[in-house]
Amino acid sequence: MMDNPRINGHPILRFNRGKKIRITFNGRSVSAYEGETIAAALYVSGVRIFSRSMKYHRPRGLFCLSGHCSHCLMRVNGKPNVRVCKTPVENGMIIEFQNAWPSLKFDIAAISGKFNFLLHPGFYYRYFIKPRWLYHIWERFLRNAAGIGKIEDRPAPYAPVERKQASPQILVVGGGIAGMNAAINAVNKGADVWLIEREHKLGGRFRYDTREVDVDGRSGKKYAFEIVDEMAKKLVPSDHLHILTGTLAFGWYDEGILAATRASEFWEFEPKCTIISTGSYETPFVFENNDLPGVFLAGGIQRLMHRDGVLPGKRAVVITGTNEGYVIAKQLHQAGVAVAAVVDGRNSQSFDGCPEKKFMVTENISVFPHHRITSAIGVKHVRGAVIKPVSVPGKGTHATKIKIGCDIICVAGFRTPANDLLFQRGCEGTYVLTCPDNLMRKTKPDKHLSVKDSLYVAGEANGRTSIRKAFLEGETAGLAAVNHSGSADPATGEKIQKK
Amino acid sequence: MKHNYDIVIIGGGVQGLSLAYNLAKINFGTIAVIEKSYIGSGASGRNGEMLRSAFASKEWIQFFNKSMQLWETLSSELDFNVMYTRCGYLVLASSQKEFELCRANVNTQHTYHLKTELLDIKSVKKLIPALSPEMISGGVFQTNGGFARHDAVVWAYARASKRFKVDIFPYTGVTGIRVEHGAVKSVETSKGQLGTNLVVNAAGGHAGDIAGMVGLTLPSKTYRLEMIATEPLKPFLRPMLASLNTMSYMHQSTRGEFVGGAEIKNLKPAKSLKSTLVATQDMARKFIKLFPGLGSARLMRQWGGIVDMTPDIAPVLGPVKEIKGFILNCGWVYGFAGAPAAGELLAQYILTGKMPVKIQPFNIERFEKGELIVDRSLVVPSEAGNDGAPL
Amino acid sequence: MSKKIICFCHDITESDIITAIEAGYDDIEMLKRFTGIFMGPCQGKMCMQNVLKLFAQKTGQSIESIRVPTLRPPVEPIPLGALATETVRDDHEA
Repeated sequence: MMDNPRINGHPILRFNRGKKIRITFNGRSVSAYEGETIAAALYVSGVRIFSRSMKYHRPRGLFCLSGHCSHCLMRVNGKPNVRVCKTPVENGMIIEFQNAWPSLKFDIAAISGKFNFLLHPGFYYRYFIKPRWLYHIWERFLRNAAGIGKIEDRPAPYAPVERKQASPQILVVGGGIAGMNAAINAVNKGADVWLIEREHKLGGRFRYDTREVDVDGRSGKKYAFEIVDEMAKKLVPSDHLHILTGTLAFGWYDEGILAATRASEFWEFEPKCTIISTGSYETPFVFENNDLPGVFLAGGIQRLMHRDGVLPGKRAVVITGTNEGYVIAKQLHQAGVAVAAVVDGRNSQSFDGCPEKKFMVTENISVFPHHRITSAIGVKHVRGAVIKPVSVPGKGTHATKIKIGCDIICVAGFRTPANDLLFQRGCEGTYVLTCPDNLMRKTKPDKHLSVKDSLYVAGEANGRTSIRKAFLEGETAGLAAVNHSGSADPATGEKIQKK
Repeated sequence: MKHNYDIVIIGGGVQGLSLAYNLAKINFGTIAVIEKSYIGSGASGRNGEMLRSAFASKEWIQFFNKSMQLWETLSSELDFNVMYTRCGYLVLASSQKEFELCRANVNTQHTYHLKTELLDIKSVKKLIPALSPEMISGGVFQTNGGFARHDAVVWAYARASKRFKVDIFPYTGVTGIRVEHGAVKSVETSKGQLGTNLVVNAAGGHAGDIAGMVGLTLPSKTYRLEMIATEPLKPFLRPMLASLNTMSYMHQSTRGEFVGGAEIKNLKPAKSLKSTLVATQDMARKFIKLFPGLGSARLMRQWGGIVDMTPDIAPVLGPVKEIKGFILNCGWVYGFAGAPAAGELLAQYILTGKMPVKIQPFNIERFEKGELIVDRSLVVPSEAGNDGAPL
Repeated sequence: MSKKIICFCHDITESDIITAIEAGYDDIEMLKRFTGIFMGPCQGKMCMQNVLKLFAQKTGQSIESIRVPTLRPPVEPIPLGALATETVRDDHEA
């Protein structure tokens, strides 16, 4: 356990921490900074196990820190299944663990992990047919063991949420690099644009990224988070630009309405044109004990370090199959985490051609090309990783396993588009393997990034993996949407309707 | 695929498969089940899994009671655990008027020897402590009500049917039904023609289309019903629950998900399976009204399913006079609960030609005769008003 | 051998998926219903890629031939309280 996991003295970032407040976790008082997430405050106080899994009660720690997985569900002020990785702390908040007894560290029900022959899917279909009462007993047992959080027992009186409606000319869903650039370009062409973003700040995942990139080939290299800041500054709310942060667009309903939720408001959008720039989901790797606390997704570890200013651990092994692994290894190192190794499933030519190679060599970070992880070592937290060479078909498998001591395993590189809204709308698409290991669910936009009707997609939601491509696609989609939906004459302010 | 079958059942849902199994069990002959998608892809895989026979009319009580008896032993009958859980079923009254309706229904149920109880406010509170006290005026409780895992039921019937050499053809669409001199001759499918003199229309929400292939217009329309499921919660609702006041039905699955459905008042025919905003908002309001604690429970997934609904919400079973060899097994809204009995009784009719008493009332002729079955304990709105909707 | 978790929400392992496919649940919709994959709080975000790769490998189907299923709202779990609006669309009284 680290003495002070809060990062002080980062070479690139400065952390502005709010005022100190107190929350309680299982009756224990915990200090926190106003505005940070519950997850960060608990992590700093030493919590590493955040939940126990539904069936085997396996310990789970922070993983994606994006609200996509279900590792960090806790009870907050009596409300069940709250994702603490994206919920800000408030003074006096009461946080409790769920689905474990007597504690998250020592959960008796974890013994069920030894009986997976009784609990694997389909077991009950073949057994418990006779006698009937045996299934009734089993069902009662399963029912009491299942479920995650408890229903709120003293709920506040029902206060209906306010319905709000808007029919934007152009609705941009997702305020990351692609979405912001779409909005900037569309507004510049005179369109009426609404930009909605689920987090409380614009920028998407690159807000929490310290890589240096020349995003448009002209501006010179800047840090990703600086590029985000500059773009966000260009988006000034006006009559032609509405920005709603903290707004999650969650469903396209049969009435043709895109529904979104925002604090105590329920938004119903009927846009003329929509640009989906909702980013992507990271892909976990499958290996033994891949769900141990201490195994993180790269984007999750970036948020913990760069958003929350918290060191994830002391020594990390990065598992990857793309150059992203090296980017994240560099960022771990800069934050103060020793990087024991980068384990790259690709052959050594990929490493040779990677921009971060010089950094890896200079900082003496071991790289294992053409290797895979076979297991995470540890019982309640990662203590090490076992890797071995990728077996080549036809050649023997007497590969030597290598054990590397670490307390963090960072999985980096593979993502799939977060294009759910497009598929809800009936867009066609397919699964594709973009490289031997990366499966994506993709739509098929045309060259103007139109998927169907007046729907556009840009950036990672379109399967793009680089910030430069996301930037470029944002511009393309923004301009195409303006063209499709008509725009205002900048001189007269009058609408030019497309014929 | 054989060239000829003694019977072709159109629809690979729980009704079609139950019928196939029951026919095969009594050695009917060669049986084919045609399903245009995967088996159980229609309402059979989308329903609320609610099982009861505590209804308000003789017709519903007697038929569904037969089904409930079969549910008790279905797992061992099919040698596959359908996960039938006998957790009890409460029909909730939220006003004095509804309570009086429940009282009347219990009296009717006792006439037909059903073991149901009229519960007072205190008993309902004890049974389901999480219910909002304002919504409790009493209710009807049936001890042997419960639920079963709908996918398991479909697989169980399919496996058992295959053991009896029934041929099941998923991903096979019916493109036409040939009728000559007023009698069925064959069924055209996307994978070939099947010669047969006997066709059963068990096509659920698509029954109207199938009937259209023989020039028939059914007295039913296709409606979309919607449901939601929340993230898993620790057990708080043991019995199945139907609410007359909110026209909703719900239960908590073994995994802990709160699963429920409710229909808006002026439900219009629809064939889409997509969820609507109006129903989503409506269901959220209704479920919070019943269980205030659900305000912080998260909607995890939602779906729609289509049903073939008649004006009295009761099914249509039996032959049609216009076409010889065309048998209806459709109009189901409570089709999941009714599948075991419908399969057995309809199979008896098809083998012997004698219509069993318990399914006789569900004949198609009742509509032109104006003899609609009225049952005031249903929680799905009917155009004819023959439901349990607030009076 | 320790567990390789492919579906974190329901604790489904890689070998559970392989066993189910070998038991005949080799249609992705059937596999989903039999095992419970894609139906937990993450709604497939964390498992879809790995399950489908394994599914394609074990059934011999190509990735491209696997039909993308209908996706439905919500993209993420939403509290019912956030959906319970003061009025319902089209002003139907609930």
